[in-house]
Amino acid sequence: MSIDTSSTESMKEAMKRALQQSHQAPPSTISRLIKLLGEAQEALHEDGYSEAVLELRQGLQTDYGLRYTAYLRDASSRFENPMFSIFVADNQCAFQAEGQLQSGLNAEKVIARAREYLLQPHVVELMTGLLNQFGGRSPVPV
Amino acid sequence: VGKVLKGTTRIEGGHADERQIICTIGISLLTSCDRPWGDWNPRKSDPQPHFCYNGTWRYPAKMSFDGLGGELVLRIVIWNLKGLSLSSEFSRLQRASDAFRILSHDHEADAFALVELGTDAILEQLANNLGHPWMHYSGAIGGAKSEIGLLLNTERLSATTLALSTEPHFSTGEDIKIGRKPAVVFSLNIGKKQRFLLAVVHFKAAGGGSERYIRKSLAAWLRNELEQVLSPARLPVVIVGDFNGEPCEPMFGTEGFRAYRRADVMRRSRDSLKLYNPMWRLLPDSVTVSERRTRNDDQTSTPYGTFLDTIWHSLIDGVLVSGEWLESEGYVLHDDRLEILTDDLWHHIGNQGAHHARPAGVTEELAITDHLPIAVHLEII
Repeated sequence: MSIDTSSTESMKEAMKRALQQSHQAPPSTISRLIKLLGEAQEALHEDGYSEAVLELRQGLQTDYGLRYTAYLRDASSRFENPMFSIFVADNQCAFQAEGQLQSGLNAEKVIARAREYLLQPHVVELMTGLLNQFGGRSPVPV
Repeated sequence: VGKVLKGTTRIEGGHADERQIICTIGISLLTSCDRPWGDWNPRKSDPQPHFCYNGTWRYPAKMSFDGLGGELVLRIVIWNLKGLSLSSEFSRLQRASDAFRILSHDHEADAFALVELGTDAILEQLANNLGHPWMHYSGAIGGAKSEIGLLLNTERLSATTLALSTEPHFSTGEDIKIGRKPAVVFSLNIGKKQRFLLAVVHFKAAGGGSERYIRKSLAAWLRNELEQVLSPARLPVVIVGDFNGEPCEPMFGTEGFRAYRRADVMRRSRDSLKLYNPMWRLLPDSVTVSERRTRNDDQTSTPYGTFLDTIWHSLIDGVLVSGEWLESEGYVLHDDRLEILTDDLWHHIGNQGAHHARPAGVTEELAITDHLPIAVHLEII
């Protein structure tokens, strides 16, 4: 079987261009949110909660946009707890947690809101409490 | 002995401001305590099977009759949705969404415990159709599939899905091969506090002896699992869902849930996880539909009918409440408000199996399910 070298080369070039453009584009709301969750997960690990997993799952389209929900679970999947949702539409985002919904946010504001939420003392307490109770480990003594 | 004496009795003990409860009580209460479950046929074994509930009897401990002024009154609706799916049955999905709107708005439901969901996506779609602040809580962890889930009004409460530590097994120790997860446990939280555990079950259907044995074994397994999950926290437990059995089945008996049909007897139990079965008084008849058909020389297999004395009791979802709930400070079971939802909802929605109740024009394909949902009222003070 012969290989069409010319079309393979053009495919390579097209892929390079696409990758370059991708690198130049600003990170999307979702990738920034994933990065934020990664930072929060790393902080939990450094504090002794090595079982903590924070992950983002895409849901269905809603009136507020496409739903993405952040979940906390332990690595052994002994429990799972939805933390918050964000909704991403064409021009604006919304943030939902604890029965409260904030709509009309832009990408920066929704990421800032998610960061603020994750840093609230009662949310940290909730996460560490769940990990202590159901994650099968005790926190590192201070 | 055995003759019912109607009178008034004051129940002593408990909290200082606990109200005096007036109830009707019979002498046979004492005689039946040693064998609270009887032989699972109240018609045969108990000469007065209904004496403990004749319209005036109530659970005597923490019941508040005239006020719903606690921190939170929860109305949980339990329903088997019979394989609802996103792809092929949009009209059925729409009718289910209508039902949930009616139940949440007109009937003030705060939570739906649902079983036999086709996919997790159907659960999310139902939550989306209800709109903010409703959220879906899957019975699976890590994005796996589950046919059990919760819809919660997140202004009032939230949930954490908990993994059970073992797979179900027969009481003989043999593994049970069943094609679906028979139970999921959720920790229900109000604000920052974890307040109770909600186990949602979907046990194997069919009425043969082996199925009854499997259901009994599943009950024993779940009871053991809950004792393990419970042991550190000692949280109250509510078990709801589709038990797929008559209330008189061995599943609820000594080798299964050990769920007492009378709350006062349950309180005297020495079980580490005491369970009360409030559905018994709503469905006290142990005579199954098949027995009635045999008696009436009815050779048909359908319809079930809609009246509670003719429908299969196994098509009515159920609830068990732990002693921790009934005895702990700050938890109230509104036993008298436990209800089988048949009236308003059915006139709007229709029932797949019970075609007598379907409004004109509602075909079986358009109806939601053949199950009757129930609603349980719980109060946390």
